[in-house]
Amino acid sequence: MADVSPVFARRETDRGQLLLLTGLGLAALLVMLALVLNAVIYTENVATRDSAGGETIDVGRYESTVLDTTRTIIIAENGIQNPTFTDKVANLSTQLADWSNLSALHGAGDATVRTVTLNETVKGTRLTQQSVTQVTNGGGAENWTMAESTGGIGHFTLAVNRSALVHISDPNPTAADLENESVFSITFANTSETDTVFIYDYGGITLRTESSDGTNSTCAAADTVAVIGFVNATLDGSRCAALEGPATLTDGVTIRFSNGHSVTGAYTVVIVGDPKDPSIGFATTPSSEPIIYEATVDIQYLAPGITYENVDVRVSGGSWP
Amino acid sequence: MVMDDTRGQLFTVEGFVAALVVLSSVIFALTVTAATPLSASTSNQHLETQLAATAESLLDVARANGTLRPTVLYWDDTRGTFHNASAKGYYLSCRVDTALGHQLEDRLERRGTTCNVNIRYVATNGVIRTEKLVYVGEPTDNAIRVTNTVTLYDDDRLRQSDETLSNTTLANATRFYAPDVSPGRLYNVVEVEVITWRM
Repeated sequence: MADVSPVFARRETDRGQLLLLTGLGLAALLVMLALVLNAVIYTENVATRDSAGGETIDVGRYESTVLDTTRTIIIAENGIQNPTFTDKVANLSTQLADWSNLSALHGAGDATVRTVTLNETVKGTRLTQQSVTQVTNGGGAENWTMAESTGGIGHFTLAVNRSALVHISDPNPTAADLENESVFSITFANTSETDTVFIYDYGGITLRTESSDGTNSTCAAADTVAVIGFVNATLDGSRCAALEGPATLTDGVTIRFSNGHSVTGAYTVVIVGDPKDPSIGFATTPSSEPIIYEATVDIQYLAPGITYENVDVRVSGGSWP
Repeated sequence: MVMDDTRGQLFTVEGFVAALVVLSSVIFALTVTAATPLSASTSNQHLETQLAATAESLLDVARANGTLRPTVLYWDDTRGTFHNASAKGYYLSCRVDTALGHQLEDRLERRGTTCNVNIRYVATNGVIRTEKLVYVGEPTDNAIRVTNTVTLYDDDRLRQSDETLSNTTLANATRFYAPDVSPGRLYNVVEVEVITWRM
């Protein structure tokens, strides 16, 4: 028999399948939306984490600690009176190795490997006259060379008494005038420049520097005792233009004293290498003592995600750069 | 003409199945979606990062301005405990009576966070041991931890209750928590550990 039912009745038989398909489609859409949303949230979460930056900061913090500790150990060793440079280096090496081992134990708990080893040391000499007396060498000579072509001057302070200085009445004396009056002077010379600092009394403790290029400069302090800082270019704590020239001559410099009987004072000088004058020793006045001028260390820091090695990191043995 | 009237049951079944599929997908989507960064949950990564930065900068500044070491040495060698600590031997809040302690209180405790502070040192057998300086309670799962190293020397002097130097050096101390584990001038290497979380 022929099917004479209306066309729209035949199409109604597909309605349930359409409902199911639409439901499936909506479900798939919701699942995809959830997955995309999750991916976005996770990406933002990972992007805002500071894990890589945090490890870098830890490395910087470790290296800073290493440098501080090494400097502290060196300064302490330099402060212990010991005539042997080898002993000081050995003590530094031992203490640094101990520190490295102890620090490594802490690092093991954080899954990091941290080591520091002593690489090289530079020998220096600290020359000291603690008593306020004439500036002579160990044999009493007033004209003597403290250092010759030294690798650097780390520290140079001289405290002088005004009462012992030669009195000059000329407000603008020449170098020849001052030399004729046997004024105390310190000469700093390298291959390119020579600066002579004359120290005398002209209404106060007066410094006058005569340079090999023909220029001169003067500064003064009214106190009866003043501390002269040759490396920092200061007189009694204030900036002194007359010392700015000598302050730049720190490498390959020869330091010579003249007319040491025309001054009384105390000083501390730190130079790279050994002193020139053989009359100055550990138990003499003035005295000399070997120190660790500077050291270099190798630093290693290993952690999950970061490998850091820094070799020949320089550490100063005192207040000098 | 005979009409086929059994398809109604099939329509019903298909409807139920479709509804079930849609409902299942909705439940699946809701359960797998993670909390957004704007949610108020304490597992918020941004808050943790900010808290870590605060604690790290606090310790770094303390180290730079010299207030970290005095806290480590804030030890009463007579009683064998930190100065002004509780009967348990440690502080029960971040407010330690040192300059660093004041910073902990100001930058952590007063801003809705709290802290535990431990000092980890090397024992004579090489094991890392911990001395509690501050213990408030058990940290939450999203607590953050920062550390900073302090090197102790034989001639370091303990601090009195007002943070001034005492006459007792570490070499002379008899009841200091960390032992002398190095034969030279080096005494010990300790780590100050700050664990902080939001209350």
